[in-house]
Amino acid sequence: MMNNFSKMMIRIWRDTDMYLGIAVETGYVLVVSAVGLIICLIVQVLVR
Amino acid sequence: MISKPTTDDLRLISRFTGKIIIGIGLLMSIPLITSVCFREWPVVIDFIIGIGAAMAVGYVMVKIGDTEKKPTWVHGMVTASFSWLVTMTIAAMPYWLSGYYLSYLDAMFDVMSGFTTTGLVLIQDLDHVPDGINMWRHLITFVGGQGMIVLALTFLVKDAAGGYKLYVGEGKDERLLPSVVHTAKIIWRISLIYLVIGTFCLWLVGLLIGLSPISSLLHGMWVYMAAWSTGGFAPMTQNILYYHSFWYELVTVVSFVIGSFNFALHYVVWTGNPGEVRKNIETVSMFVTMIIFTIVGCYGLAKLHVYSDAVNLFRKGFYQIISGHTTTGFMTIYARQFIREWGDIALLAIITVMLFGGSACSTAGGFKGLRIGILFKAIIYEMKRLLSPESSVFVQRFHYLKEQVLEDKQVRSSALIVMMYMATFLIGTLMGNLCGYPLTEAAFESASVTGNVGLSIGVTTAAMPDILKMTYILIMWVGRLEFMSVLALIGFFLAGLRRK
Repeated sequence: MMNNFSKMMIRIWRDTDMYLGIAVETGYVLVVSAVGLIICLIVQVLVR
Repeated sequence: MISKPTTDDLRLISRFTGKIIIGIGLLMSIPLITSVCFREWPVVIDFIIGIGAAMAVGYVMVKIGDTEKKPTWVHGMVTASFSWLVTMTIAAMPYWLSGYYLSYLDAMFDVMSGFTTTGLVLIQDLDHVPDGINMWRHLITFVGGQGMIVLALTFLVKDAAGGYKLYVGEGKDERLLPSVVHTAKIIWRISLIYLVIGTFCLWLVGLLIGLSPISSLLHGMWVYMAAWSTGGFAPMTQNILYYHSFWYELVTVVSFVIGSFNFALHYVVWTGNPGEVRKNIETVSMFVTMIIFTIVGCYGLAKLHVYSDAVNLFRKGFYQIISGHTTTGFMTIYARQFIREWGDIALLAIITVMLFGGSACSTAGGFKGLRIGILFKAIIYEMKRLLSPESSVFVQRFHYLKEQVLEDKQVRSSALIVMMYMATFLIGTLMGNLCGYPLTEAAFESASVTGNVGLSIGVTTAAMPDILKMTYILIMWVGRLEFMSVLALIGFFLAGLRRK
């Protein structure tokens, strides 16, 4: 089973830009979270 | 009109459903092995009985279903919706035998909640549940996220033409590769790769916050399964609040937001088009609605001085809103805090985002960003048309995997689905209200089940009336399958009652 999984990982790594894809998607979420944090900061300051 | 079903139609549906049930039986071997590893012998017996029942029922249904008839769209739709009901009944068996549920209905509720990636629970004494049962809970939600049909297509169904009809029937309509079987395999590969990476990250964070290596690994894997599939199950009653860790919360946010992406988007980004994330109508739509409703929600919370500083507002307010928006249902507050502390503005914001949901062809529920984006584009189109000379001709475009021209049929289809979601939400709210819950609480819980979210305001407990449990089961089911295959099943059933 582990052998199959390793083969699958290698195939995905060889056939796709897996690391780039993961980095781009994670980057999108971090931007969303950063915007969320900035909104929280601004709202907290303005409402106070 | 659907023609009156023949014996061959029923056989065909029986064969495909039987294969899916066998798939569920095979899947039970994973929690069985977990139970053996942790020497939970009573649970081992529960799973052996469950596997036996699934194999027996599945085998009989496959045998009954011996026919040469080729599947049509109706067969695909009916099988998809019917198989969800049958597997719910079978998969609930180990739950019920474990003794952690007050009734078989409660066990079925949790199975449907898992398969539809909702995440509401009726389980008793969750903090002391055996590891085998916890493995089954999270495996159900992980498989439900990808889709049971996708699982069956990957391992059991070799009929590509029939497979595509089943695949569409389960509410997914993106074919990443020409072959639907390869599409299903790609979906599993992406999910498994993220599962390994995410589990590793949560395992590290778990070690840092003081969990034992084994406990950290199991919690990490289960929480990641629930996060990726936007399920919302967690091994502890306090959900993500149990960990009291900013880093745990951050990793789960990354996991469930990525989990709420369209599988086609993952595939396009992974195959050399990273710019798609920036242009895709679903990610843009989600980004915009997330900003708007975070502002509204945080304003409501800040106005009532619920949280003392911006970081708390982020960890409690933003976390709940984005968890609701992606239809995950992870919580870093107690359920009753919604009603006792949050106030009407923040509750309205979270109810709205729960209905909006994540992306089409993803693990998420709700209207979906694609439909919100299309309806927004349609409004812009209508405004332009009304404000311009009659002779003007407009073409409204949007970017969804490629540049597309907005067509009437897309707008009609989106509006229809959104209307059906809203009708379902209203029915759920009405039922909650009729069962004695205040309007706000009934509406919140109804939005949560309609959008397959899993955030709870405290209505969903084992003590709630059975009629409400059954209503929520049906709503989770129709919401996840996006109505069409359920309507096909009802039409098929009614056609069977006709005399000719």
